[in-house]
Amino acid sequence: MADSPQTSPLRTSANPARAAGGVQFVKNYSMVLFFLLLIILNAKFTPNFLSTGTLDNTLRQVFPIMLVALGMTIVISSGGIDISVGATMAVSAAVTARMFTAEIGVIPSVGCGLAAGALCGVLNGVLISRFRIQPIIVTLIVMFAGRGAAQAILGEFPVSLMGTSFETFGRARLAGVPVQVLIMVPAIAAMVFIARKTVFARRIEAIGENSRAARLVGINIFTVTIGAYALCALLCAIAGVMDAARGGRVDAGRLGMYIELDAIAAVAIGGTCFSGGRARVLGTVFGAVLVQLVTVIVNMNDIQQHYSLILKAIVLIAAVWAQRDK
Amino acid sequence: MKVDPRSPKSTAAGWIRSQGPLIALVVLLVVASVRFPEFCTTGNFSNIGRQVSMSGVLAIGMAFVILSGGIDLSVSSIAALAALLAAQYSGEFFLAPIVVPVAVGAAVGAVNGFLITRMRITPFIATLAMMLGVRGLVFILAGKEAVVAGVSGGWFSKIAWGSWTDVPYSTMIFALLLAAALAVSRYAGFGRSVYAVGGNEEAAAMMGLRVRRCKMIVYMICGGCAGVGGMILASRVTSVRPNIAVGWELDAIAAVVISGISLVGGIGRIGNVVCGVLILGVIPNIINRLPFSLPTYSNRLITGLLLLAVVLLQSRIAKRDPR
Repeated sequence: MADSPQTSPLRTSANPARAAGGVQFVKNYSMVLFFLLLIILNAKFTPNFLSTGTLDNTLRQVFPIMLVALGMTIVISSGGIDISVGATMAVSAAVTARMFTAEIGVIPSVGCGLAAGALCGVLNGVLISRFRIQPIIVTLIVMFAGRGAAQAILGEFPVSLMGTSFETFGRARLAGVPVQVLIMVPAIAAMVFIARKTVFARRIEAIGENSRAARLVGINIFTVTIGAYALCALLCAIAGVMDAARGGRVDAGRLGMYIELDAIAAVAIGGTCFSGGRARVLGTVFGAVLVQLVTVIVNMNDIQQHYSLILKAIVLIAAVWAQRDK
Repeated sequence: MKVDPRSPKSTAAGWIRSQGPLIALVVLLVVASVRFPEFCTTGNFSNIGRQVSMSGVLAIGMAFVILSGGIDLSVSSIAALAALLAAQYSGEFFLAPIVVPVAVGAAVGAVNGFLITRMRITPFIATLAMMLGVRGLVFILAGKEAVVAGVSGGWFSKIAWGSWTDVPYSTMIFALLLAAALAVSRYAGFGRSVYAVGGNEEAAAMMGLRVRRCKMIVYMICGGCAGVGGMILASRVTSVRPNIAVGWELDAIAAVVISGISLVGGIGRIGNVVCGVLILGVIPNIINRLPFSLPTYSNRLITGLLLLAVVLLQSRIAKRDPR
């Protein structure tokens, strides 16, 4: 983005000080404190807030935001941004639905959908690293073109998948646990592992901190960047396919619309720096839950839906402001 | 001959490179005029002028922001807010439906500027938050009916629909703002400091330029332009829904990028914005004239591919011309 290391005076310290001290503690954990405050206030004032129903709802609804935000964390850690995530979701859902209606079975059609989604990410990565175009522009293009392509694949009108095995899968539960949770938990675990233990994540981080230095130490920026965007796109594809399965219909023009905003907000709340660097996956997980919780609380209290937009805006600004580098 | 420091060397090849958007526009216009006789008519041109004036005004403000090295995603929400206010005040006394939306737009821009310069939040995040927040505000202001009807047929709707010798008033507003922006960017001290701040913020600060003030004004200009765009929009439609103008920020950014202004900041010419805006405006017009009917989504697909072609070209130029 616009903040390149040479031009921005705002980024003089690469690492935020994690020194002890009360103020620093509050700063570092301001969002956790806010989260706890939100829970406590709602436990007191919102009827039926502390119930398994709320938990169940939140966990199922947070699924797309969670997966997309996990992918977004990796991309942002590489110093980029991906605003094509919603379009990627739509592409994979459209391909899956198209294949499914051609009756080639659930698993092959889901496979095709995921592959098509990942391809969007590869395209992003190639354009960004090979042609050195800014990530926001590349993903803007893929967002435009991907949305159009999704509609070209599936047609302009929503396609219903009601009553198919595909839809049954989207509503399935194993011992009471929704299938979304069964996918989400391993996905989170895998991303935490990737971010903490793999060389791949170190390389992404290095590119995010200083891409020139990363190239000079011999990191292949081309493959690593493609890997980062492809991973993000794959997670989006899973989110898109599951979204189609849960709703039982695919509207290529609307599926995943504006999810990039929620995902970026989740990453920002999670504390991953937008000029690149360490990927804070658990922070993102927390951020995604917080973003979804705002929506849930607004719904449960019969507040006009639109106040949640304002609330999210305030949370986003507060989060970034509290966590910015000094 | 004076060499403009903002453009590549003044060779023939350099001229072609720097005038890429203009050449593309001319080619597009010539091909369309040859292929479709009814394209090259005053009626059609004033129609295009009417359509592009709104996104064009937004693109002017966006161009300033991008030249300063920032970005503003909140313009669509500001335009919606302005349209809502304009529709609400359209029956009021003269100028209220014009002054209020523009002033409110500039005020929201000032909030953007405050978040970015004082709270030091990245422009992308700050304006993203404002995009959400202002949109929420629009929904709340619109209330339960979710539609705010403007006064149709009055003087206010003349802004979008009236014209003087085939030149729509809205196009005149766009042209006037563009001329003002061009003058400011070329000859005013402020315009030069926008380029300086976008080129290298630290260096600009060391030279003694007031970087924060410059950025603040830039975001206020962008907000004000979005206000003008929303005002024209309100006069064009009979009623304003709160989800109006969604996605306009992308059109504005696309127009600015096509006009050759680099997102890195500090590189590009405001005057070329007219080319970017017109290219994006002419394409749907041409698609509509094709003998076979294309589905509506092809518009976005083609815009995306066009953007891709432009940035690929720019990246090739950047490689050859290491600046």
